[in-house]
Amino acid sequence: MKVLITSGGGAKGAFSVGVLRHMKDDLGISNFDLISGTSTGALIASLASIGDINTLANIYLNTTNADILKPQNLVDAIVGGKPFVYNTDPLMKQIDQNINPATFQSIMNSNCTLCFNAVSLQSGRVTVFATKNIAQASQYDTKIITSRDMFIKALLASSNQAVFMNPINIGSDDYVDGGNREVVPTRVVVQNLDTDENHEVYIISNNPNDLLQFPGKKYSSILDVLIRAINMFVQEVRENDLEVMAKYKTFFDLNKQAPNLKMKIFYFCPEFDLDPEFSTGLRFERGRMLQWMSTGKRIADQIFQASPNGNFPMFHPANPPIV
Amino acid sequence: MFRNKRILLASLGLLFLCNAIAQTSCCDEAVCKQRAKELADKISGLAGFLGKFTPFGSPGYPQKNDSSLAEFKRQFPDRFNDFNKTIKEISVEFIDDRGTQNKQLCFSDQLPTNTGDNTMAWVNYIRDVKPVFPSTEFCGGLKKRIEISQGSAAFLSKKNMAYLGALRGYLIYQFAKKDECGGRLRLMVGPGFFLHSSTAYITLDSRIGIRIGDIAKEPFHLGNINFFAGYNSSFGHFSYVETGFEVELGWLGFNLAANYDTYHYRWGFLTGIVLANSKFKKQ
Repeated sequence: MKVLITSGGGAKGAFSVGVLRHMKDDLGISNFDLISGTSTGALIASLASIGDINTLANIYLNTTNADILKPQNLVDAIVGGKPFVYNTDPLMKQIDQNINPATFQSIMNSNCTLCFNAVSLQSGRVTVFATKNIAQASQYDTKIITSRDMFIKALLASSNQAVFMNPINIGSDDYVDGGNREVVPTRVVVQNLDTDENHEVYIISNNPNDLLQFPGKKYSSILDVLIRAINMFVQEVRENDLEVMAKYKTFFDLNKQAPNLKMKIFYFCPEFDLDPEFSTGLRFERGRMLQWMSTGKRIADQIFQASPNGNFPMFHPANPPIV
Repeated sequence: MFRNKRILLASLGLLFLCNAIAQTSCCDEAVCKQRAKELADKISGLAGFLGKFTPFGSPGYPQKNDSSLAEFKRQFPDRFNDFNKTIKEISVEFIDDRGTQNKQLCFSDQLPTNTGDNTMAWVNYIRDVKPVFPSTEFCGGLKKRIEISQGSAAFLSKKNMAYLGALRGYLIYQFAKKDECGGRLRLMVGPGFFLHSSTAYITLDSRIGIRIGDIAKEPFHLGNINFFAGYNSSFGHFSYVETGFEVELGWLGFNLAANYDTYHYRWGFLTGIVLANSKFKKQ
């Protein structure tokens, strides 16, 4: 199986697009059997499932904050029962334009199983929205996408960071960003892999391996502390997500049904935090996204050249894998 | 008649052709692609003199970058000027272009794979573009509000100082693009009840408001400060011109106005609280 996993990260998703452009344009890798995306990675996953990476690149390089976010007056938000600081109606319009009925049909008719996750505020659990039937698991609930409207809502639900953006109502639940529980959505992937065939897994994380350190920095603002706490939380979630994949790789190597079967995992992430000043990924600035896309292309080029059989799991020397 | 038709058809054909050219991607047009390559090559070469960019959060940021730029300027002043000029050209012609030719992607594709992001890091360091979020204030369309005010009818004269109170309701129209906020102008009109000492007046009030600035610290948008001027009249003995400033915080607001009584020729003031300041909901 050929699998793509695209992580969350807002504007930093331009890094993922850079990796995918290198894979498609320089290596001819663009068809996947299974794609799993979270948040900005869900938006990327939807067009990657039909190989339309150029449209993706143009979307990122042409987007500004005003194109996707409409700030909410805080007083009205508190008094008016609107528990968010940005309204994502403009993002909804963007998705509506780019996932038009023809594109939606192409996605649904493609051979690729597309999954993106969101978290239900009511149950607190991950819900995987999928275009085809997938294996069930105790770690997540599953909903099969049946209409374009549901597809768009699920995409938006996966993208909307809780508190910052409005929750999205689908059925009886209100959903927020899947990154609240799974930044690099690996669980649905490992549940859908078998030990009787070869696998190629491409994991793209828009955040670096290590959390940026700020020695000597004084945290005197509530907002600074809040953002730092979110960063630490996201780091913990993504480390757990990667550990899930590392454990599965060990499981596969021990249980594969023929000795010549292989599981190659390519893991791409930037060396540094792409936007430490706006680490929630809400700086949609074209020049920077162009830079991050270039970073993605460079990193992908380096990894494919240095590790043609995959480069994962690759852990920090001081922190060996737990298996 | 036949000739006019031909001219019309030729014009329509030309329009169609212009539209088709405008839709062509930059990298599919030789001139545009050549320009993208020219600028990408030039900026890559110039950024090569600066070396590796030190990213935010790394030891030595931003001093290392600043000293590299200072050294570049000292050693090669002409190239340094060319570097800044090229960044401006790239910004205007490619990065900030709002056309439909996808110029950003074409420029991006001309950058070398192994150094493109380092070059762009220097470009962005010089560009230093701050994120712009749209205003939450002065959203287009109709609003309503109630305003309760009190003050003095003649605060400059102790002899004539008298209580002045008002209860006003306004229908407001704000000028902004459809479904968008961030307008500058609002027009207001509505009935009022004024109490001047112990005399009551029913008035018709009109006002113009201009947004001066917003009260916001990203990601939080609290409100705006606006200037206003208006006229309140009972079409009889009560006739006031007003001007003042208002702090508007969502549905709540506070204002201070100086009033000139055009009937008695004296200055007064009113401090007001704005309540029920909200959009008309579509049924």
